[in-house]
Amino acid sequence: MYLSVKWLKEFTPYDGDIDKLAHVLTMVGLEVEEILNPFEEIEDIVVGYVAECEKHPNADKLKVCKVDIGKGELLPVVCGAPNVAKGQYVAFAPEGSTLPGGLKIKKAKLRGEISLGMICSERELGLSDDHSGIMVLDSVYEPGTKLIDALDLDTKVFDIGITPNRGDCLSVLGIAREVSAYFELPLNLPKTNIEKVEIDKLAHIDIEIQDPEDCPLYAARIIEGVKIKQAPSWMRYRLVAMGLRPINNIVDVTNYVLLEFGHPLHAFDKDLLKGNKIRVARPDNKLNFKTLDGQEREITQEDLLIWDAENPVALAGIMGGYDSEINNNTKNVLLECALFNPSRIRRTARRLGISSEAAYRFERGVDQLGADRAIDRAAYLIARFSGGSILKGIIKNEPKKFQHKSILFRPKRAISLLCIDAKTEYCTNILRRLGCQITSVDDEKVKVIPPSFRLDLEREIDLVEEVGRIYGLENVPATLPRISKSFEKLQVSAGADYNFLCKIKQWARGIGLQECITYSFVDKDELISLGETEDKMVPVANPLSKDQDTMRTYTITGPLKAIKTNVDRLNRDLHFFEVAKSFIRDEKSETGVLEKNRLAIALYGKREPNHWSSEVKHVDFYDIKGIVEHLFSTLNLRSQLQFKKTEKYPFLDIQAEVYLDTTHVGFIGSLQNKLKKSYHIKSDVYVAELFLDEIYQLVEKRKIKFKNWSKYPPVYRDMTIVCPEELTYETIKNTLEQSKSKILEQVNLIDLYTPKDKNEKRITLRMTYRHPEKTLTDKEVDKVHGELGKYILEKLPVRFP
Amino acid sequence: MARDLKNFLDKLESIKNSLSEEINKITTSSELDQIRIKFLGRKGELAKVMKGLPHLPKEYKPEAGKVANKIKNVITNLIEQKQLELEEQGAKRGQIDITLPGREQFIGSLHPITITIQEICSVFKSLGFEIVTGPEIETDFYNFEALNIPKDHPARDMQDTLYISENILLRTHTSPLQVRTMLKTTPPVAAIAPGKVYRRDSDLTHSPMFHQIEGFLVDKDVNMGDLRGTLTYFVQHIFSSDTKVRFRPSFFPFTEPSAEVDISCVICNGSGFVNGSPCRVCKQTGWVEILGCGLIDPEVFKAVSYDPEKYSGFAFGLGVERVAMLKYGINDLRIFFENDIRFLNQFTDFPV
Repeated sequence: MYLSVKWLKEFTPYDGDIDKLAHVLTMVGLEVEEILNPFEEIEDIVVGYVAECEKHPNADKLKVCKVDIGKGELLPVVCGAPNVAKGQYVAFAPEGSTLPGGLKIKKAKLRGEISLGMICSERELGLSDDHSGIMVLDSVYEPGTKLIDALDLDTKVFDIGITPNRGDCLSVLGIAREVSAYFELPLNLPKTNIEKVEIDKLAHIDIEIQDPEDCPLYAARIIEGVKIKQAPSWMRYRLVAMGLRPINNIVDVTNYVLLEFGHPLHAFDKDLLKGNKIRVARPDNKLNFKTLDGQEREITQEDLLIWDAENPVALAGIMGGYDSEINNNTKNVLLECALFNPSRIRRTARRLGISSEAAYRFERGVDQLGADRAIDRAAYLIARFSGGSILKGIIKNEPKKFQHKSILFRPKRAISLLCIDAKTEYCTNILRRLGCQITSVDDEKVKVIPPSFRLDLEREIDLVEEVGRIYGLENVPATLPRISKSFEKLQVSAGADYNFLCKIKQWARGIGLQECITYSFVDKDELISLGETEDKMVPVANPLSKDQDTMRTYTITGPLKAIKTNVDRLNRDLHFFEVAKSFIRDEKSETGVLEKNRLAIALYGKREPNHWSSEVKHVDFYDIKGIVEHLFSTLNLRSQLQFKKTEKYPFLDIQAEVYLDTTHVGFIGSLQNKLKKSYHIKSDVYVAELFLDEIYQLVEKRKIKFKNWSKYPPVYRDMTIVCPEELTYETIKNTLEQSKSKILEQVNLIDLYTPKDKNEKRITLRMTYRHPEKTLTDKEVDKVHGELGKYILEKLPVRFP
Repeated sequence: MARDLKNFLDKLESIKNSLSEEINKITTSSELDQIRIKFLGRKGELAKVMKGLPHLPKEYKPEAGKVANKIKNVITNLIEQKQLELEEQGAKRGQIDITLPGREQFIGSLHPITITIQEICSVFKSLGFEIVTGPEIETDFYNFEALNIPKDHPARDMQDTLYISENILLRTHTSPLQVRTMLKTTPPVAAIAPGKVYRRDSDLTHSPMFHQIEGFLVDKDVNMGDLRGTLTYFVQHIFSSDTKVRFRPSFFPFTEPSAEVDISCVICNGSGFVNGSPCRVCKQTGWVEILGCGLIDPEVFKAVSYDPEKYSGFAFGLGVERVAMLKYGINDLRIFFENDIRFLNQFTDFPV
């Protein structure tokens, strides 16, 4: 919210430093985010006195003026405005100055006449839309005075971040109250003395309220015989400083009072209201209603409307109606000052996408007891500026009177919760300064009645906060708590815990993978291209953009995205991993979504950094498989690890599922060619996605047990066999290991050769033989090795070369 | 007959002499191998001479055998000595260029967000906080209602929400973990909850996904001083021991009193200027906002059936990206999620 310091000072006589004021406001919870000068762009503009004004010798519509800007000599200026005349005080942009919008004023020659500056219109200065002529100042000033000083503009404006609980601070009055409470300064409200200007004709209109919950108060005043024109310049310029666009002397007053007191008001053209009646009600059926911004809005039975005897005339608390708004022919004004239900206003404003100053304040709560003050002030100003007459009295329907709350407050509790060094009286005194009424109950408690504008003060803790705010949280000492523990293990959700995920990340980092972090949502089309079915997907109902419209079901999309970004930037040799959740629709779970921690890895480019000593190859399937094997070896689960051939993943060419015994824990493979293009990838990419929650369960169950080893030496024997290409290594290895030879310790593949043009392969295996209790002789080993050879010939379609 | 012995011994002597002569000429170990074969091999010079030994008269045999052994030892020693000599020379000659690049491995790295989370979690763990995690897709109850953020309340404006359906949403903060944890246990409880959070907001300073760490402590007599102390400890461990901490009143529906915490700007050390030009990070204020906190609101206790008269607690929520940006001097939020390796390569060291 914008707050003019000058305006504030009209309410409370703060005369200290502006930066200090900003600091104090910030430290009581009204954060001054910026100090602005809304008129910065017209700093260079000065007051000029038009000493002479002659017709231009060579142009009918131009005049040549001599302007005094206090520099001793008069400046020649060519001016085309119809209203320029000798003896005026004007806004003058001297040579070298810049106008809002960036126009730089230079020395010029117009039809042969020198011009050393420019006499400005209000529009040229950003003060209004008026460009009918130059701006003529209505007082006498010393020529050369800065315009912003001459007009006494609001050049110091705080942009204050008001938290949602402090609706009372959305006005000059509200902030002035805080300043006066903090500095213990008096608070001066503008006086209206409306009784003195009211005419002796009773205001009357019927006000009907359908539901007191929707509208606890509706008050109105009638001003007759107004003349629509501009509001006085001081008010218009102030509205401009606050970021509002001046409209006319009626609407500007309602806006001005809104900023001043925080109470939204609305002015109707009374002659456009049918029947002498106002009704506050929700419609029985949906209807269309045109708001004053010219838009047709669809109104439902949940939206609150203001009606005349026949039709809706305003969207209550949000925006007036197009057909009843103040216009240039308005003679009589009905001024509304009401109170509406915050939730209802908010729902309607949100649904219709309207953010108005009025709705913003009604949503946050408005001071019911401040209504009279606001309507009187506005009526008074309207009458003053428009020549209208205020009819006698406020017409009011108030079906739900304001109820003061009463809160029991224990100062000692405030002192202990805040950890401050203060006395009971200090606490109650702070509350008193903030407008609360305090009465003593007993030694421990007092009864506190908060002021009507502080709707946020409802409970004792709210008062504790007030004490802390004014005492200064800044002055609370720092102590370290003694943290007590209980025996029970704290586990909030199932699945892999934080430590396990950290461990996985550390492992991945250790083997040379780089961690990437990507958004959890992707383009639905990306999942479709991976062959994902819609029944598994979790769409975001209100995504920011199409490429973020669905939660990812595969985590691998992250590393692939990272590869794409880097390939686009000509970075090479990418080895990424990401530990993140996949999201799969699952009606049985609490949120309808199954969230699973997953590790995704993608390899692209060289296997290892280039080296001069030998050629470095590109990654292949056995690199990704090796990484997975490395992980499970690290986790002491290698003996359970199995890879099973699959065709489940439509986006992979080579593919295998990863199992730990019977538990499916992931998949590996190579990305299909047709997908590579969408990730801007040219050569092969190998990927893995592992299910960390399942792996975590197995790691939790796993027990590492020490086993002693044989003290006797191993003996090695190699065996080369020729077998059909389809026969897998795993089959051969398993067959050998199942031979039940007691001294066969290990089988390792040491060479694989596939001759061209032949549907067979040669496999050389190295057997490690070892006896637990003795040194094996060559003879013993030869015998077992020979038997093993026979065994494999029997069991499998293989031969020796 | 003595002539036979002398002849035998002379032959041995000449073998030794010719060996000494030849061995001095050679320069390579393969030549030495040839010499070894020539003199000591099964059909070598020494063997040839030794073939004459059985034909010597019996009385000369002990003398001849003794000398032959001695000569054999001498020859063996000479060859061994030469071997060592050649090896030493070889080592000198074949010295490698140690300045050539070694065989490297690709360097893995953790994302700076992960590093920052782990470092922050370590600090709080050392104070006695336990780490908890929870779902990223939440119900309206855990994300809002139980945290005293009712429907149609302006406080909901503070967090623009991405929804899955009317009551299911992407969590907008890690605060639901307060509720989830408190529902699972009874005080005393001290926990922190790191994780991803989501908001419907994307520009230079907002990312639709970012990371938060929630922390909270509930016990008897927990007060603002404890909160201030805990956060001061955290800030001074993560930044530096002279970083100042400032508490500013604010509003969060689930804490009261609430505060925003500013720290003295780590870029300009709170001076407002870097090398004479205005600090862009703190906009010359000398302070940067780093987290929100407060005493847990009694309404939250009500939602989890804790007695607010018996217990009090504090909670805080901090933005990990914010901390990482300040710590590493990163000025663009979006760079975190691009994963350019030239960015990631700068964070190869890792927390323990």
